[in-house]
Amino acid sequence: MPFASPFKLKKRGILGMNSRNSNFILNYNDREFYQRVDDKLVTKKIAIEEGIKVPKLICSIKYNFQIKDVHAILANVGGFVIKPSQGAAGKGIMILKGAVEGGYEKMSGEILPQKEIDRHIAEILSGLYSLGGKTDAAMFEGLIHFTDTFTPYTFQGVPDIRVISFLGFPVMAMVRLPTSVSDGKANLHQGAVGVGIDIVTGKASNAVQFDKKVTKHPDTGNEFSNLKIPFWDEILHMSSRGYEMTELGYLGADIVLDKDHGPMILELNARPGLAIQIANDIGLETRLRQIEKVYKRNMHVERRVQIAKELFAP
Amino acid sequence: MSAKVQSYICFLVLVILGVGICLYKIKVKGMPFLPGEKRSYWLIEGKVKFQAEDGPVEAMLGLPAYYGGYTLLSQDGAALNYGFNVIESDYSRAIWSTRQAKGQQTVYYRFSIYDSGVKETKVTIKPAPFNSKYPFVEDPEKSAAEAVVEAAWRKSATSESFTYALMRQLNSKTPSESVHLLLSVLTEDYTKTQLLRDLIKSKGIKAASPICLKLEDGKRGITPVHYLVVMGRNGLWLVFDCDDGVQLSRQDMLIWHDKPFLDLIGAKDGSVKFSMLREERSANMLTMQNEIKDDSSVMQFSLFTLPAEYQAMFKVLLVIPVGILVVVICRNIIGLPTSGTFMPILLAMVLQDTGVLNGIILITVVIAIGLLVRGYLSKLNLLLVPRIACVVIFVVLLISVISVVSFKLNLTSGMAVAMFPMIIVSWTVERMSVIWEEQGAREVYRQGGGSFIVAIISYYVMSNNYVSFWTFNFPELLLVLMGAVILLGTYTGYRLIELIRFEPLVVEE
Repeated sequence: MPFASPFKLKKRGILGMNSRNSNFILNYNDREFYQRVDDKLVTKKIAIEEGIKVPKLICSIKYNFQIKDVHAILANVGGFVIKPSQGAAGKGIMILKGAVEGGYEKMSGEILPQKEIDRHIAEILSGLYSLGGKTDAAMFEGLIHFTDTFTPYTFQGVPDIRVISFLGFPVMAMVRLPTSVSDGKANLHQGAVGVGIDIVTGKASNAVQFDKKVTKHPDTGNEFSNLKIPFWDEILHMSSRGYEMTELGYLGADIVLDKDHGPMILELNARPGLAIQIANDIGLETRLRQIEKVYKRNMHVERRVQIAKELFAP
Repeated sequence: MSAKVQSYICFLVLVILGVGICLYKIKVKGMPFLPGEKRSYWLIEGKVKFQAEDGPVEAMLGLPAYYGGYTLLSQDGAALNYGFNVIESDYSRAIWSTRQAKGQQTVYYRFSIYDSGVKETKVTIKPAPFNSKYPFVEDPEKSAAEAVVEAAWRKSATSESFTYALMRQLNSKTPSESVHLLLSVLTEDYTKTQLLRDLIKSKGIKAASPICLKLEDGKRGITPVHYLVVMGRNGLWLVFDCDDGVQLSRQDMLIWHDKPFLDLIGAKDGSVKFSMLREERSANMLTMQNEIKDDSSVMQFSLFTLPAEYQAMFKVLLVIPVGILVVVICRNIIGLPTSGTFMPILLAMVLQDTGVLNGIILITVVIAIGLLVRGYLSKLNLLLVPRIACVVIFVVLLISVISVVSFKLNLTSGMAVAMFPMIIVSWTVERMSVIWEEQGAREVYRQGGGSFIVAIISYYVMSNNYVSFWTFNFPELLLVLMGAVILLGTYTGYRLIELIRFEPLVVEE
């Protein structure tokens, strides 16, 4: 097993788990604000207040007796997503194409009987997917109509853009692309491909699967070098404004691209992972320390994005 | 003050406190620091014989004022037809009494002493004041005594060298005239030892000629003799054998008060003979026996004072923090993934009951079958809580069946598994199956495997002989452990796993 020298890692400014927790999350993320990202209903509410685009909320329910009432609403909305409001790591998310005779159609075309959906909602409400097993709310969101940007690089599933911002400055970004190995999930440790994105241009810079370098998508065979994220500045602004919105210094924003509405914040994360460093082949700690030096209170978003672009130009 | 500095101060305070109490118990209270440490233990029996004069009898035996380098552990003097009592005071005595006795009587006084590892203190012996008068008040003895004393005094610096100088003069083969005169006053009741004592005391130095018993392994029927004891410079007593003119080791010497040794009322012809036997005994056991009597506050809070069954419970309880330390190291320094923070410790406790191999097989089987059942239950559209409840009931049944079957097959380790926390296993089953559904089987193996590895390491550390000895005998070491955990909490360097994980990031340089 190859070991890296800790001194070399330090020299490259790689951020370790202990350092992330101690120096950044504990220092810059106030516990009382966690609720703003851990509860997706709260996130959605404050995002709308800030004027940040989010997927449309159809409805949300908290109690079992409400389950029978949601079917009337869901019958006419077309595609939708069921989510636990306080779910962690994408647990308990179910994507459905729409209501059909006797149940609902999954994306794969399989028909799920209504009672199957009822059970899933009941599980969400009982807290099966929530952090710490607390009782939870189930939320129903309109389906996102994805842009074609990622089609050449995606095997089923939903690719998303992860931007880490620090004190309101965008510091690092990547795209997570589902593969057949990851079973259509955009989760890196399940085998999704992580593509590092250059902060200045929004172009792909580097890509990994299972922490190993790749140059093209394992299923579609398309080279990542041609990948460029549209609406890049809007994405940077959006994730930077997450700081005003949540007051959390170290923040990960998961952003999706909708055909009609452009980029939308899917969710925010107060403890974003470290794999983004491997995807970019760049250490995070160096960038975070750079930001600590230039940070000033009440700096405008435009200015912050501009500074970040200057600092992180390749 | 920054949080980091505070952490270091916490660490220092905890370590100083823990190590301090621990050192106090070792140095002052003489608790053994290593398990299996042996200490000398003496069993001494005094055989007291006398002739009763047909009537009420009372026999009083003086008890040692000083037990050498040893500590009194137990004493007993029960004798047939006699009431027995020990009077504890500055002048401790054992007293036998009876209303009616006649003829030859024998009673025994048995006591045990042990090397408590405590350093000798200054105030260990208080011989009673010598009450006989200084005998040399008239010439020519007076001037002879003065001449001898002055000659020795001039040629000496300490009470030790003074005693040696006197002994040399008195034991000289060609004694001077003065010495000759002094030696001529000796009788059976006024021995050379007493003469020396009086000469030394004339210079204001504390001295006595008490009964002394030299400890020698396996000796029987020893009659204790009078030795000369002189107060040394450091306040400790020096023991001299005047006839041989040598100093004896204080370490193996029992010294009585300079008072009547055996007092008889209603009896005569008393004699005391001692037999002694030396053994090497477990220091831990000896300390434990002694501690129960000790009333200093540190020892009063010792776990030894608890009933045996609580002690057994504490033995298990006190090693848990050590297991926690292992988990902290495995997670924060090594970076092993575990399912839940302290599940590995619970698993380790299960392993302590069952043994490693049996335990792992049992837990794996129970969890595997539990997962199958849970898988079926999820098809019944049961809600979360009833489903977990169902799994718990099934796991209880399963463990019972395993216990009974293994008992029938004479595999006794199966029985022990009945002790293990079933709720934890059921909860593990539920947790594992959720991980399976949401994150795939890979995660189950990863987290389950990590938990097992950490559990096995914890098990070996927790069941280590030294670890259980130290945590039980020196619970204050847990403060040091807490300090260590606080220190680990400030570690912001890379985890071992990350050196592998981030290896692709440095490979190109």
